[in-house]
Amino acid sequence: MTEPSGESPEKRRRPVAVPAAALVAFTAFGITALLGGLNETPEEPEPLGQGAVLDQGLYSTKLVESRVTLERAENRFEEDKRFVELVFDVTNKGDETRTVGVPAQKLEQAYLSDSFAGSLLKINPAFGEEAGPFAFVRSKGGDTQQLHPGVTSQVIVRYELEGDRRPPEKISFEMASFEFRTDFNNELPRWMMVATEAGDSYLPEVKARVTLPVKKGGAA
Amino acid sequence: MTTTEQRPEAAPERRSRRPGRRRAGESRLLGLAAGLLLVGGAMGLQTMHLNAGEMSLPLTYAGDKGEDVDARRFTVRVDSVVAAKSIENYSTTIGTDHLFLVVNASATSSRKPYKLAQPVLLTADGKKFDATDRVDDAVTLANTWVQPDIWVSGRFVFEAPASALPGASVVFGLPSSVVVEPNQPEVEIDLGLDEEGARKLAASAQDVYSVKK
Repeated sequence: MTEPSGESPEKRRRPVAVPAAALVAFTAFGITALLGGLNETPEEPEPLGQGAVLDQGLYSTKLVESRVTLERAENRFEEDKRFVELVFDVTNKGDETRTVGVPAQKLEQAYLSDSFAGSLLKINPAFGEEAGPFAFVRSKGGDTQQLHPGVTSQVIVRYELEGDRRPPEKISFEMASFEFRTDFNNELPRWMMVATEAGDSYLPEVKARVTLPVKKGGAA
Repeated sequence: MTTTEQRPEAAPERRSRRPGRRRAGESRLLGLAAGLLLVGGAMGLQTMHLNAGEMSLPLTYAGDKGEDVDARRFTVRVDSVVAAKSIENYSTTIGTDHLFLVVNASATSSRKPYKLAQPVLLTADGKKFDATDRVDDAVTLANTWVQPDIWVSGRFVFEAPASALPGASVVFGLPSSVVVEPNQPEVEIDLGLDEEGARKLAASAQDVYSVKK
């Protein structure tokens, strides 16, 4: 306010503007660094429900439903069995026939899989070890383990309900995805699960979190 | 005597010295050139080094339907191809939303007995269909020992959409062994199906194909 006359105001402002700008830039830089740098933040996995379609890279997967099914005994030595089933319509988008596989027992080993069932993680609630999971493709007059290229097949992943155990109200799980890339020791690219390093191992990147209500009273 | 003795002594020395010097210089140059050539050659060879992925690639012997295709260790011939809408196994009858393709093939080996692996149906756009697991191995040619100089015949069954047929071929190989061997032989046989042929084959699909003889 009390400017000395004669002096141009620009000359004074300059020494203030430069350090101020530097300070602002430095603070912005610091804040960016503190927030984890300019890397892309990992995408939040989409929450998905019944009927949704998920692109898993190698597979295009429709979440059909979850249900309880009853398998009648085929003879009097067997007992009726009840299963909680997850039903998917899976299209193999790769160039080769693939087997359905099974969900990994341990999360640390899940990243090694390139099968469809291997991409199902943290299935909740947990069923007993005896209960499964079993995974197969339902087809006319006999089941198969094969997912042929370019073909859509109905995949069933199921757990047996032991004794009088009540089926859960809903079932939730996470789904991983796959990418076609080269390995560190192999120059020919192949499909591998998208995973990030975590300690000694790799953990699959979660592409979607799924919750399905379990339909009751279905009989197969 | 002395002069005649001295001359032969001195003369070989002179002769040997001069060419010797020349040789030393030349041979150094030659050695350098040879060394450079060897180093260059070695570096050149490095670029031809096959990595693990390339080593696993097969050596393919190609041929047409009806031909004996010799892969040195074994020879395969595709005799005929039929389509079916369902297949009668011993215990069940299986159906499909697509087509069953029954490939009747014959095989012989050259020195050792082998069992062929389940073959792969290779489509014109590079898709690979494994032989179906819905038909028991026991009723396919994969269950038969292929012995030297004895021709055996049998079937392989694929399940594939009709759209996979035009330009398709079948690839036969040996089962993967414990000892990993680079560049295993395989036989690729073109089924000779153009658009028209594929359509005819699909249209002529029989309702039930039985594996019982």
